Amino acid sequence: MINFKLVNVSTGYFNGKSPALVLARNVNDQIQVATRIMLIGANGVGKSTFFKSICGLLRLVSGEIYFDSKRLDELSEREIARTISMVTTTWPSNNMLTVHEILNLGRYPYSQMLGMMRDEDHLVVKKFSKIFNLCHLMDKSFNHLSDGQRQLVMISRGFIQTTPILILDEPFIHLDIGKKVWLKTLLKRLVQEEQKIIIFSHHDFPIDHDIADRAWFLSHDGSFQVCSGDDHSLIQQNILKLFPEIITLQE
Amino acid sequence: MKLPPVRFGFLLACFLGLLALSLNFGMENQESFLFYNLRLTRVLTAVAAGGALALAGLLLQTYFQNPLAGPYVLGVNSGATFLTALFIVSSSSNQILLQSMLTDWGMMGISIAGSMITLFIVIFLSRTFKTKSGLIIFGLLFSHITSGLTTVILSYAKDDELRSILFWSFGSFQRTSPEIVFWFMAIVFILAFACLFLAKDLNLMGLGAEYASLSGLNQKRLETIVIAIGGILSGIVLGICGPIAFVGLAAIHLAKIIFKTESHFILIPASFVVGSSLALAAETFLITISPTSIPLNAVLGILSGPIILAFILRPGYKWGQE
Amino acid sequence: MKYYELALSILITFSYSLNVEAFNTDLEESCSKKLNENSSKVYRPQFASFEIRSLKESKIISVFKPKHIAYVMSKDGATKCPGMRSIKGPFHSIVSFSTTHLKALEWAGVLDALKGLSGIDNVYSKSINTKIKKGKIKGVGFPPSPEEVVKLKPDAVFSYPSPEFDKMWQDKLGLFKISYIPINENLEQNPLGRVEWAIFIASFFDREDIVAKKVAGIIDNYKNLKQKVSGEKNKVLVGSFFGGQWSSPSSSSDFVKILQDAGGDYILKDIDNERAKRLDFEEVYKHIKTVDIWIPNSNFSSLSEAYREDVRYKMIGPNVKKIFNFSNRKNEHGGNDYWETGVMRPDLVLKDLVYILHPLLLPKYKLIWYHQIK
Repeated sequence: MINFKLVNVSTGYFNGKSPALVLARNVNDQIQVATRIMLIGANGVGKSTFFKSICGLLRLVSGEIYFDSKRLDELSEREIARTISMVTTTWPSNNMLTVHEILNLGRYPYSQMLGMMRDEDHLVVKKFSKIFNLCHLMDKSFNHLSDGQRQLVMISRGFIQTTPILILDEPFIHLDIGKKVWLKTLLKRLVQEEQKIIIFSHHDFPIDHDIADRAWFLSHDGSFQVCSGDDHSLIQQNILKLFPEIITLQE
Repeated sequence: MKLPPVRFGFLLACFLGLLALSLNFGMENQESFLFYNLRLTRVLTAVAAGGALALAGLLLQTYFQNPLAGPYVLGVNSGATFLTALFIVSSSSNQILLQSMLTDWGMMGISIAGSMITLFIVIFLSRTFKTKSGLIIFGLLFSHITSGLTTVILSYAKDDELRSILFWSFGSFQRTSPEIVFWFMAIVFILAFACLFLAKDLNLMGLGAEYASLSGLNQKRLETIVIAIGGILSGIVLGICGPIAFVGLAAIHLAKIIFKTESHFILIPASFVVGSSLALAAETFLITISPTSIPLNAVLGILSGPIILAFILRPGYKWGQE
Repeated sequence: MKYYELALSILITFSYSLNVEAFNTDLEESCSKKLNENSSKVYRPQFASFEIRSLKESKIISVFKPKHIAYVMSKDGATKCPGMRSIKGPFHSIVSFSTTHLKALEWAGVLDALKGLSGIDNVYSKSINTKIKKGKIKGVGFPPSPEEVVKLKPDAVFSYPSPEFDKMWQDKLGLFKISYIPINENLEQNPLGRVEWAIFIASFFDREDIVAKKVAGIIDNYKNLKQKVSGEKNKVLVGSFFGGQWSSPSSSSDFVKILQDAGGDYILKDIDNERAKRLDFEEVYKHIKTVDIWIPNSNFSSLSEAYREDVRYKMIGPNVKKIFNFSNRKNEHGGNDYWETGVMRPDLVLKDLVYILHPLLLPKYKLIWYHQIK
């Protein structure tokens, strides 16, 4: 199990060399066990930016991220790809690659010269395509799938990359209710089986053990709050703080 | 990643048919082996050039994730054209010291040198550009500047020099000698084979730059390789045949339409063969209507235009969505 | 090496090349000696830069500008000299890439040897057009296609100088043992020098003597007529729009030389540089009111045709006193006889121009290539 540590991390956008917009400030946390972490925040508060920053796609405004004892900026691209990955919210819609080809690409960080897949790579792909019920879609072109199917393919690809940490940016949005429930259960199971840290964002109730073990709250002023999944009152407090509209609705 | 046999067989059949037609048309009266040699040189030039341009286009299109990208975005063509025009205009002057040295090297040598110099500049500068769009903007800017300079040269050209430059710009597969064709084909096939090693990386680029990074792809290194191979292939074709339009673009899209795949393990050989076939088709047409001469680029334009249109207008293709 | 030293050395070599002797005949002389011929007949034209050396069994034909190329011609092509191209001659069948060679072939009486031509649409001569229709002369494409040329199995190809394609043609034709001979006539700035190239062409058929006589006659005609020219000098503008851009010849070009010999005052005589031809129309327009005669040297036959080509002609047309254009002899494709016969008869072009500028000097004369545009 990896030791994932964030120390005084701030994320945001740069203008040249200097930070232009800071969206998350002073994020501190340390995780050493298989956990599902849910990132909660209003729309546009900087959740995707935060995700992209911690997996190396964007530069950190400040602070360090540690994977065991190694810092994010010390790792090579390939090493990062074997440690942490992400499933984004959008994908190229014109792409004619087949589902099988895309899933195979999930093994890219482990491939050699000509990109030949070893037996173990094939096994991993087979395993996750079964788990995500993609076997009947393997030869279909990506651009012929529905949004929900595409989402599952990309999530599966993320798992195939077998990184200790996996980020899922809004993994439920394209799924129907049945699939939402199914994915919830699946993630709960996979996190333990694969011993992973899964960080995801989601916009629904309730926040309980069915969905996550830990909650991260990001508010519009950049402040960041960490809550354990057991701490229901703190969670409630934070929800109300971030989404004051809920109270007014109830009234 | 298996090559669909029926479709590839059909493509191969078309290609071989064109090959047979082009090598045999009008050859009844010629007993000489040398004449056959002349015809073969021409045909092989077309085959190699078409394939080379298709490959160069494929690499650049995939890397830049833009269906309209091609070697011209690198500015390599304009740089070479500029040097070629300069050569034509300066070499007929009585006084230039370098004149005889240059004419021994030949215009081909100058054009290829022009491409390589430009390519070198582009690769060097690409290392300083952080974004892909930066590189494309530079390439286009460079193209415009050198085109402007070329126009200035043209305004000082004498009438017969203008005619030479015009003829050069028509493009032709007939300018090569057997020696040159041999080296040309060798380089093209070696580079084409090398492209297969890039297939997996290029497939990954199809998922977008973000997933490429997330999977650990070294995009800068891929960029340098893509620009180098694409630039060399298109630069040599430019030097040997003059500016050849459309083949690159049309061949790739036609290959995608026929094989309905984005996997570069298939697209690399497929685009090559389609590109070769297109170029060969144009050249075969010119062989059949000989001695009437229509410029090669005109024939290619008429052949390729509808193909590109068909690709863009096909049902299911979503405009500008990424 | 410091930069200025490098620059200086380049400059020196450059200027040295400028002063290179135009006619360095060491090569030819050493070849003659090698073939054990001391008494060789050497022909040098008055103006053009070539030379013909007739030896007993072979002939050395040399071109000096822009590059020194020497051909050694013998019956079986076996005679070789270092630095020279061996040719099997005289030729019995040839292909030409330019209609400007046709007159030379006619004078040498070897038109039957012409098997292929590039630009058959441009031919004015009736007899040649008849031959083309009958298939005796085949088109080889415009631009010429190597395959078509080789199919005709000629002994040689006469082409125009194109340094960029010379090497290609040399190599391709060499494979088939076809000689490739660029004719540098249009590099001559002296109109009389240009005609002399007919002798060069004829020498490959062993007909240089006949043609030399004819050319001598033309040169005499020219000189005689030039002496008779007298009278007031009219101000002449030469030029036309070419692709939207105004273009006038420089004062060192062959046409302007004939014009000046005919007693014309060229308005743009300050432009000496061959390359400064494309002019800002404003520059030209400044002089427009002083122009007596405008000679467009373009292809239109009437003012309305001109106006359709370019609207700005309207600014010139009404402002000049007389207009004469060389569009009197054209074929249906626009092929102009001036380029076929005119460039080879500077004496007659001179006559046309003298008539235009001083009609009283040549009563009862009918213009050949020029006609007045009203």
